[in-house]
Amino acid sequence: MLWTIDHAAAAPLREQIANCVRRAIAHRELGAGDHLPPAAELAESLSVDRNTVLAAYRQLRDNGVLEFRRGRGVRVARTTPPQPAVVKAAAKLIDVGRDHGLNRDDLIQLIQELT
Amino acid sequence: MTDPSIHTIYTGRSTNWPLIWLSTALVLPLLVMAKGSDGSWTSVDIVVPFAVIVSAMLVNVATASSVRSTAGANGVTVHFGVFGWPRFRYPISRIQHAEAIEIPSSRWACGIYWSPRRGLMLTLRTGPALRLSLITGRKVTISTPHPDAAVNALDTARRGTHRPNGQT
Repeated sequence: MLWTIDHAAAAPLREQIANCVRRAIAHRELGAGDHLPPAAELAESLSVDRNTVLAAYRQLRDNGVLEFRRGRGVRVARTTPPQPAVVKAAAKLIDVGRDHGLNRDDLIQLIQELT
Repeated sequence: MTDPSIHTIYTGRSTNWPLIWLSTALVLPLLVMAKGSDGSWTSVDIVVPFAVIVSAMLVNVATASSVRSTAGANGVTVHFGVFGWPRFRYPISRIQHAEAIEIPSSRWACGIYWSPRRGLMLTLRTGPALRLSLITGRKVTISTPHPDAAVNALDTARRGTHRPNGQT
């Protein structure tokens, strides 16, 4: 997977690293059970502090995206919860669809046609 | 010229699942065979060779079961196995050319070895791999799931003006 961070950006490095992981999962570059690189190695390559990478990993673990297992490193969780913003947008789509007389199957077909 | 504040790196991991399963499958009959003719598990004649074989298998699985590769401004770093050893490092200044290749399934590509024609092979499986041509003329091939992305990361790093880890 590709990791791109901007040291001059306003967004915290921790957030940028976490977003790299989320993006890789969304683009299926990372799948359930896949290992992430050790924090020290990633930190060295990205020229950031090891604690910054650990903070990003912890944030993703707290969100249910990653799993930490003693002696087995950091892995993508078996069941990755969808992002809250996506869930909110999907709920809104369902509401708008109902207002226009579209049922569940109609919405699924619409999404399949668009993607 | 890319923005020097932007760092792009590639990380990938390949695992040799057949080796892991084969090693596990071979250890189980050894456990049964280790039992002495008198039914004892503690006979020195049995325990010593058994311990050597199991240790060799554990070392094999621990070092040659997976390979992690990182490509970016620091060049290419390759870590093998559970403990990240053996490790190979190729600074970007020593890399002349990088390309994505496909190792055909008809070829042997399991482990760390060298051949005059293909150079150093750091491969655990056939399939996609990153091939580096060093300025010394040597070639290195590394198993990685998305070698195209690794090549992109190296090209981006070459175009960039930033120096990794405080190098000037």
